[in-house]
Amino acid sequence: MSASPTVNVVVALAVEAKPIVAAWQLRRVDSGPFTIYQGEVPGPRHPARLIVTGVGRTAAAAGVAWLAAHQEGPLNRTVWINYGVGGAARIGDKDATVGDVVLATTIVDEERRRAIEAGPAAEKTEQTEQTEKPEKPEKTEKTEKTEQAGLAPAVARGLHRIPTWYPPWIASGAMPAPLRDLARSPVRTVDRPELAYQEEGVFEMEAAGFIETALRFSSAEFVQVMKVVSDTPTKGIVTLDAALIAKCSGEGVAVLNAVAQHLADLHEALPRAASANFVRWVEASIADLRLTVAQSHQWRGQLTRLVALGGDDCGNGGEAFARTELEKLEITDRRTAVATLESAIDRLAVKARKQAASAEEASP
Amino acid sequence: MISTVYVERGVKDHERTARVLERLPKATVVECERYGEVFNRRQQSFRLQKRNPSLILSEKTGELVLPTPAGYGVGGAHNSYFSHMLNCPYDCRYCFLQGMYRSAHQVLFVNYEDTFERIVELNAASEGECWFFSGYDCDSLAFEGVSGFVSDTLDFLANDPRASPSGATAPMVELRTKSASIEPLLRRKPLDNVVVAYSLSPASVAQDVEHRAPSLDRRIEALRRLQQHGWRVGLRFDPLLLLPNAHELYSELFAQVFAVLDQATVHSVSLGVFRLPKDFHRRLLRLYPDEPLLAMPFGEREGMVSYREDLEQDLFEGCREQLMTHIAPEQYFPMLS
Repeated sequence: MSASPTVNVVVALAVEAKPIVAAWQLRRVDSGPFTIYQGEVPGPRHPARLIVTGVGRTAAAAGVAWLAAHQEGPLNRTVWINYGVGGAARIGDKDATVGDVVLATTIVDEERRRAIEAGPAAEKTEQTEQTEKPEKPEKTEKTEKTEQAGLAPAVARGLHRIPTWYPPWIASGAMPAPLRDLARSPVRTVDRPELAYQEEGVFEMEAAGFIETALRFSSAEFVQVMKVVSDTPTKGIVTLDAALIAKCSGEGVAVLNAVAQHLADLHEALPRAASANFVRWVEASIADLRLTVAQSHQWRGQLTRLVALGGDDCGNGGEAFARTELEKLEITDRRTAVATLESAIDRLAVKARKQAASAEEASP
Repeated sequence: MISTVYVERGVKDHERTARVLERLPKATVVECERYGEVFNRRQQSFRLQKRNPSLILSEKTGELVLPTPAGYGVGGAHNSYFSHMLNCPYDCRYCFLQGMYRSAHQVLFVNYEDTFERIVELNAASEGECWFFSGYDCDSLAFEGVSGFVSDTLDFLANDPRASPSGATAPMVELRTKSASIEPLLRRKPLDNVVVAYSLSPASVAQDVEHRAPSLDRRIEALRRLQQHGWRVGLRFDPLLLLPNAHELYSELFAQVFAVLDQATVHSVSLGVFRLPKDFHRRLLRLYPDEPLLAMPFGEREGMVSYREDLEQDLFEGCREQLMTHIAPEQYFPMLS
């Protein structure tokens, strides 16, 4: 069996972490510049770690990097969830209420979006102040097209540069109850607490930094952002205190648990990782033959082929088959090692075809 | 079930967008600027997304109709293809789309009419029979319940005098599919300039390798009903796979198909080898390192990966010989790279 993936939860504040630490029975570990907790996600018991990064996108990015650097086991077997509270006026077409739990459909860097969208006005002022107009830059095809569509040039240029992420959410028929009706909405990262909540979605201060960094370590399906609404236009941010933040964070823990389990289970759909024993054996064969770096890559590729050919319908037994077949070949010459292995596998593949054919002919 | 629909801002008010969204009332709708923001991102898992792909509604721009690769055709003077979608709901393990795209999300280009106009233009500008193949980057019929693509295409072909079969030089259109949902075709009068072509594989391949696609029996039954209704049908045995007992399996397949269909009225029959660009093959191996189908002896020729030449020849020739016992030479079109 492949190793269970690690669920990494990234939160900004200790009060946001508190309900998770309690519900998952995490224990604090000695961790240097960040507070880190460790334990297991309840249920199928996937390993879990939680880091308290401090407020803001930079702190979140640093926390993710720290956690990744101290990851035991392969980084591509990690799930990343940014969890915390935020303010909202509307979630979808409904008014937001304190305690609403939201999974991000998009993460928008609001600061950069606003800067880009403020661009044309700033440019206009600058231009009118100049006595001599500078030569216009040559229009690109894209700019011309967006201008024709009625967009200002600066917006047109910036359109594709507004940092926005779209975490793919892989739903399935048998989703657990908390996930079936999960609200999904944009999450908007700002650098100062939001008071106006003009756009739909949750305003918060970490997600953009979190996702930009976490995507370096894991496939996008395993990098998700979850927020609980803590303030709304009618219950403004001034009403927030530690107790209310902890209470809001607690409201989402059951959903967080379900999301973490669902994402960890999704790892089962990925190619099964080779067993540690097999990897050691392959690396030992490379060392014995003193293969070059390029030869080593080819060698591993051919052995992967051999495992695939030797596995049963469920992919079991392939590693044992590969070991037996390779031992039979008694390859000792590094110069011809890869080619010898490749032709032996080719013969095996064709032989397997012929054997299956004769077996079928022989059967009544 | 599609749980997320991304909609490009530019098409959010498009009539077809509204129609698609009406058919997916439970989906979460997310606006995006261009489909590439979602579809072309790095760090995505095609394999995972195939479990529950999202839909992206977009506007097709640039070249709407493209020339087919060399050697692809069913006898026309000019061969082009067009795609109203990228990706399809089926999950065939040999499919080159897995190596071509980073995402398994399905992109639906809602501006069909722009493609229809381009077909008319190209057809008018060319001498000789022009063929336009649909279903190269997707399945023409499989998503019909949501896209309405086939219905709209047939409306265009039946009603636009520049494209209708009554015209002197009507464009020829092939709708390539594995889908058994043929009601949109059975509801209307067949058109002489349309061929409905089915990709067919031995029953065991359809079951084990062509995940979520209709069984071979259902495809043959769909073909039979289409033929009975008067539609011209094509058969595409493509790609031929190097299977245990391949010659026998393909021989059985041909016998099974021609026992049901009226061979004389089959428009065209093709055989194609398993081949894909080297980079696509590499990505496919990365996605499915545990797949025996991809562990067979492959060789590289001019940037394309296919079965080792001697094995490919043996498979292809064996199948061709068997096939020719069922059809007339003029019905046969090999698809060789």
